[in-house]
Amino acid sequence: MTTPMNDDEAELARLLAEAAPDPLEREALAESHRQLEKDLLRLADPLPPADFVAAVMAKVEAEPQRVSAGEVRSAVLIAVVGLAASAMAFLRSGASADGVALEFAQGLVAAREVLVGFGSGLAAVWRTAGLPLSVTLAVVVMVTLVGLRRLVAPENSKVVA
Amino acid sequence: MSLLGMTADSTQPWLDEVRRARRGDSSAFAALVRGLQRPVFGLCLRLLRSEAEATEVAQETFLRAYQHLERFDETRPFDLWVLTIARNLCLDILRRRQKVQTEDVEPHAPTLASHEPTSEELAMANQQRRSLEDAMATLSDDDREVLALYYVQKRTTKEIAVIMGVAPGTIMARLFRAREKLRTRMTQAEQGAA
Repeated sequence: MTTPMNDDEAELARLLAEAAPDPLEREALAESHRQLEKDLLRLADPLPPADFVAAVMAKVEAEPQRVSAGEVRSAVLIAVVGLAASAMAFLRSGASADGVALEFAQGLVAAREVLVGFGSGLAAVWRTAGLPLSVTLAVVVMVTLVGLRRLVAPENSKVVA
Repeated sequence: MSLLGMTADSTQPWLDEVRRARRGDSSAFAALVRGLQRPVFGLCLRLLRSEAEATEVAQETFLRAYQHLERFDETRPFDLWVLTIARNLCLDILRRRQKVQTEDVEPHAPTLASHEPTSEELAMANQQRRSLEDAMATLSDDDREVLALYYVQKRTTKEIAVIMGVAPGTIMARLFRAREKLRTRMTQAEQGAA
């Protein structure tokens, strides 16, 4: 009794018949292919260098931390819930859009005053040569401190037994 | 083993490590690298025929796999996905080389023996293996690849079709043609040596 051929067997039979039309030749060809297969199956992949895994993991560690899609989803959810809660609290406190705009305008005026004051301060320092004086004093103080520290350093002290 | 007969394995042995690696567990990713380093390096070496390049590309393969771990489809085998990355990187390099080098074949690292052979057996087996490797090295990239995947890595025709991105029905014909070319090259080499 013969078993039915699967697709691969049928394909192989077709290829063999194509390569060797004569039945004896075909059988010899099939036999040489079988022998070659035995030799091929004995081959094995070579081992990579011993430090391969360590080298890969070093490259992986050097990569920026991956953020998973789940973490991104959680972050967006938290931000949306936070914003929604803030908006709800704001509306429930009885504040209106007009009030918010007024507060914003007052904030801008105050910020302008701070900037003008800061500019005036800088101009005063420049006019009175305060900056060079401050830097010179700071350098003198630093040099003095470093000198004192070197003087009291342990390597400069002699231990008497 | 006959000319036919490797069966597909439908299990997903890497899935647990993949999931842990996705959650940021670097030891799980290291386990994946350890488990797949040999087939990935082996495929790269057979395609590129340069140990230094194969090492570099195999490392790059795992780095790409790590970078795109989120894109991996869990319904597909992880090892085939990684091998496909390796293959694509190798093909990029081969395209850049623009020519097939059939000489200066680097000797491969020794294969692992399954029993304790005598020194004579070992020498003969090494000689036989070297002749086969040398003949394989003279084949085209496609032929080397299909032979390596089927016989060395023991992949099924379906798996090879996935890795190479071709129809499964073409693999048997590719294998037959590659074997036939290999047989011819070996016969020529034997006649040349005689």
